[in-house]
Amino acid sequence: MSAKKRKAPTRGKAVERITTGQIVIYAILTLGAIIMSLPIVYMISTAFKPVTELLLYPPRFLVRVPTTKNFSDLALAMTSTDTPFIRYIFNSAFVSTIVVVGTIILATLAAYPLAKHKFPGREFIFNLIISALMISGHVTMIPRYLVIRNTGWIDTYYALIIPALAGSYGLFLMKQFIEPIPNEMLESAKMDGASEWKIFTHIILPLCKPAWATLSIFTFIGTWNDFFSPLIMTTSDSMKTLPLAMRTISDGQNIARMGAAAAGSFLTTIPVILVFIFFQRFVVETMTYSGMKG
Amino acid sequence: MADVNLQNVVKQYPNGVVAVDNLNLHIKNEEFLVLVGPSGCGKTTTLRMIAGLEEITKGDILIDGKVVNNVPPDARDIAIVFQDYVLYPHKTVYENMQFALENTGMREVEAKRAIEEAASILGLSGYLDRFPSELSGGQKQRVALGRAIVRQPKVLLMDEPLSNLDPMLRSEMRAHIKRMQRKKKVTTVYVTHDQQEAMTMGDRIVLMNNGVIQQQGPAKELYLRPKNKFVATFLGNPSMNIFKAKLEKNGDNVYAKTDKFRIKLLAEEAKQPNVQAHVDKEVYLGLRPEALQDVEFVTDINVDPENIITIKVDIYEPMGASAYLTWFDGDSKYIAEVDAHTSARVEQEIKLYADPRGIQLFDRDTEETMLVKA
Repeated sequence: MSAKKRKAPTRGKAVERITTGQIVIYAILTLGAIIMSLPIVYMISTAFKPVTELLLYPPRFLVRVPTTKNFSDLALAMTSTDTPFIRYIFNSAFVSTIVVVGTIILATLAAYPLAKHKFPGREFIFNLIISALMISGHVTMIPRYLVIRNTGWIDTYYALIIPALAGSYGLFLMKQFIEPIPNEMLESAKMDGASEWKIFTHIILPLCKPAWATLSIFTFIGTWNDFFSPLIMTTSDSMKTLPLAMRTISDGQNIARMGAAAAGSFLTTIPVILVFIFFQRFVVETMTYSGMKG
Repeated sequence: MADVNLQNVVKQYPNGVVAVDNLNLHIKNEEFLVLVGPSGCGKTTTLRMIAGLEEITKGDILIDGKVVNNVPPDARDIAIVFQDYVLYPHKTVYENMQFALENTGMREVEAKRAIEEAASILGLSGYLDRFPSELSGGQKQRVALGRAIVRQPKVLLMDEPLSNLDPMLRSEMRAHIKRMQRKKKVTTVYVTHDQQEAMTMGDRIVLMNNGVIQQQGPAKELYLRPKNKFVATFLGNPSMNIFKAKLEKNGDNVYAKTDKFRIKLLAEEAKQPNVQAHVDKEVYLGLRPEALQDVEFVTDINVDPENIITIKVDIYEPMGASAYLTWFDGDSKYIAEVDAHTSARVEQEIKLYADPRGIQLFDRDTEETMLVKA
């Protein structure tokens, strides 16, 4: 059997007839996809617009005379700051990576007992955590700031990482994902002499891969794009993350920097898109492990 | 290899439901024991208690003479096969079996040999590097079986392992399981709700209902000498016909008389004191479908002309080797399994011979058997 065939086992499928309903659905989906992609197209197009086109009113959707000047402006703006621009990129990448990894570990560790073990207060703990989902982040912003200030973490990586790890969304997602794993699977592992830790690392964790991928995408995008937390938790230039730095570049009424800002926002989305493409493939791939039942 | 002893075992759930009530059962070394009964009869709970997955409320479970009530499942050296296979979907067939051995500290070379041996017994040798999603239902269940036997457990438990398979595969898997059990000589407890599976597979059948053992013994014993009406109707497919009847005495003869017909008991059974004590009393008369024959095809010279009943066929089902004739009387449904060449058809009247050797009688109140069958 060829490697390609092995990856996607298909059993002789009947020839499918395309119905009118399917055509309508595909048409709607295509239209939706086009609309969803418009902002990205606009952003890319803007990154290549010369200043004259940037200032046009009403603005033009697509660039007419593309230029790479915005990127050289950006490079210039980067070198003109006191802090090297690479520092912002590092800050963003470092914080986002640690938050993604930490969230997955913590969320899975917390979700497993909540999903698969019976202990008093289990429901209460879960509901308490879930009710946190209902509270807007802006409401907790000030108390969070006060806590961080009192711990002396202002303007440190801790301030950017630790609060982000305690997200209840990750726990919710992981718990919902672990719950349908058959108890019998864990029981037979137990009977095979596997310790609780081994069951967690060898059975639960690998089976959660699709959930990790989803969680990684959301957490990474959220942390990478987060503007507000670094704004209030950091004070020095060297602790700033990309969104903050971009803001500095395009700050105020500086028309000359508009092009650089447009190029910058295009460049900052590239890692997000890459992460998405990488993990999305992972989600689909892991979905094919559906061999639990006949 | 081990023997398992359940002594006065009780399982009561926190909501008060008694799933298993004072169960006493001795499973001998290397025995293939089948626990059978309708859903909710306590058979799976019993299995899970042996495995240690369910705590017992009262009583003792002994493996090789040692009480294991508080021994955790992994320390009991028991393997279990579930109905839903529950293979690890992210591991190959080989890795699935290997996982069971990893925790035993077995050397890799030996593990490989054990896995290959199990795979060859179960006809899985060509599938070791496949993932479960690439296997058919029957293959998956064989992998589950392989995973269970590969580490040579003392006791092998199976919880309705064939229920998800289609009938053709089931008979094939039955053969695989029996062959494997004979080869490995492992003490096996097999739970099923399928009476046919139970009859064909076990050295001994334990029939449970409402958390209590109704009867245990070899399949033939339970089939021919059921202790009560439940056992009689549970085993056998189609199930035993039960008529409401009254015992009548005429000289030395005893008849079971229903409102449609009467049949004469065998002389030696009529003499039994329990039968004599029930004369003129209401009883249940049980007749298996095969004990009712189309008179045209009865070759037995001892036919008693008194035991012929006339029915009107409501459903005619040719089964190949035989034919089922079904008739209804009020809410009750009766079936005769007659010769395939019968001329009987729907809406026609036909004469059936009720073989007195197949008669079962049950007390109307206790539903216990009244006959001592030879």
